[in-house]
Amino acid sequence: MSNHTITIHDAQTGETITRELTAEEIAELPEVLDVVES
Amino acid sequence: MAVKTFTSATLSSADTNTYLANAGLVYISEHTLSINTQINNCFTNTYRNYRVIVNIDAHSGGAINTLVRLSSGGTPVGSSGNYYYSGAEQAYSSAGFVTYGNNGTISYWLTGRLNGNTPAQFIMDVLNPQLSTVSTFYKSQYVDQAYSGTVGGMYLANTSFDGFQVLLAGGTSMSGKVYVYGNRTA
Repeated sequence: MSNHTITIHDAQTGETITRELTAEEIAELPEVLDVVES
Repeated sequence: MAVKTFTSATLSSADTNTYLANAGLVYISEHTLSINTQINNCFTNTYRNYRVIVNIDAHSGGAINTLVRLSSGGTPVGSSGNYYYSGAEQAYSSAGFVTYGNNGTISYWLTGRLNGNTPAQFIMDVLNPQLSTVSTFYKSQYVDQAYSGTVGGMYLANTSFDGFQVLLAGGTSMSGKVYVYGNRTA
């Protein structure tokens, strides 16, 4: 499974689907965050 | 609710309903964790506060982060200016104490930092997600095979949410389980 899919669960019905992310959703995927060492 | 000392070998239905069914954390649902996971309809008006336990059994990408984004109606909500957090962590090897923060510059909460491709866990408390009259707050405690840390923050707006996303920043795979509990109050 690529990192351009999303699995969507419904906590009430138990339904689960997996679909490809849209181009807009892919653009919003987070990047690795830097932290500051103190 | 008062502390009950049971003296009978047989529990009555009344005591069971009052003292056992009213336990603090009530199981809501469990889900398979994937690289990008969305859970809908887990925050309802039944409970005000929630606990989310995430067992990351395996992931790729090395030293990367797990993040959470709140959602409503299946759609992620909020942008930079809404999500704030700060945290601290310490490596088991005592290589250094690390602190970090995000003053509303990205559209996610950081919930855990993964040091390598090893199992990891985080336990996240989410406060007020369903209420549209106050901000939503969170606290996450995370551990893996190299270090442990704690991080917390807020969503700066009075917004009602019914779900959330768990995302892996970087990497190509993640597997495990997500458990959601409600904090029963009566």
